[in-house]
Amino acid sequence: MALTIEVTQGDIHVTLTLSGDVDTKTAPELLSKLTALELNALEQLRLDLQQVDFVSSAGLRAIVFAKQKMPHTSSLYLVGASEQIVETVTKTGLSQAVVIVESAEEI
Amino acid sequence: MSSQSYEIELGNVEANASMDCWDSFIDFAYMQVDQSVKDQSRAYKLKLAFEELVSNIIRSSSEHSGDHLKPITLKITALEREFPDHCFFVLRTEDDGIEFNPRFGERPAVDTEQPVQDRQIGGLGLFLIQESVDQVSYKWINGKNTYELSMSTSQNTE
Repeated sequence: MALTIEVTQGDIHVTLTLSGDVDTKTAPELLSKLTALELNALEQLRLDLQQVDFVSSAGLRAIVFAKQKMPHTSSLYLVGASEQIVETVTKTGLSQAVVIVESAEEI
Repeated sequence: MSSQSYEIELGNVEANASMDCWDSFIDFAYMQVDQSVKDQSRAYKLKLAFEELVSNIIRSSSEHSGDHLKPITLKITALEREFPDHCFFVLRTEDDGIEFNPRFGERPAVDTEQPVQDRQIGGLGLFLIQESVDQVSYKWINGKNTYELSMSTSQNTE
């Protein structure tokens, strides 16, 4: 399934709203959007995954990339990820580096 | 008790091991998984493992394409393998690329406690394959890398 990514700039955060699958074929698009952000100066990054059905390790690598570029004090939120995606994130130990919330209202 | 098994081929697809054929491999496999693995969580895990495996094969094919006189071919076969007391859905891949034994079961576990800041951007794929399916195997058969990802379907009928 194709991936579409909408970028929204907030006051202290940037939200990437994803729709589709983040797999080997589409993860470069996510990486490209992330690379275009000033991650090293970003206080908060939100990845809205409510309309994402699938995230492969290529997608997880993009998340790791973003977290590594952001300041240590910054936060990376995964918003509305499905049970399966949360399980994958947890299994790979990435849950220690991101904050998983069901909706943006929890932030 | 007999340990005999039999298997039924559900279908196959064969094409060049390149990203140009990515959709053919993925569409075929996902359709087969959806038809055979009824538990959504287990179906997701099998798709995750398959996606990683095919991604690795295509990447390896691309890296070593200069060593071959002809394009590397990848064949995906969906199987139902039945034992007297158990049934598995199997996705088998066969590619005629460079021999590569990932030594599943012998690999050191990925340190999931390691801080993300210190992580290498890699190593997750094989870990996810191994962790996501009930059985994973590799054999070098007739000059082909042959992988099998197996997921029990016995619980489909429970």
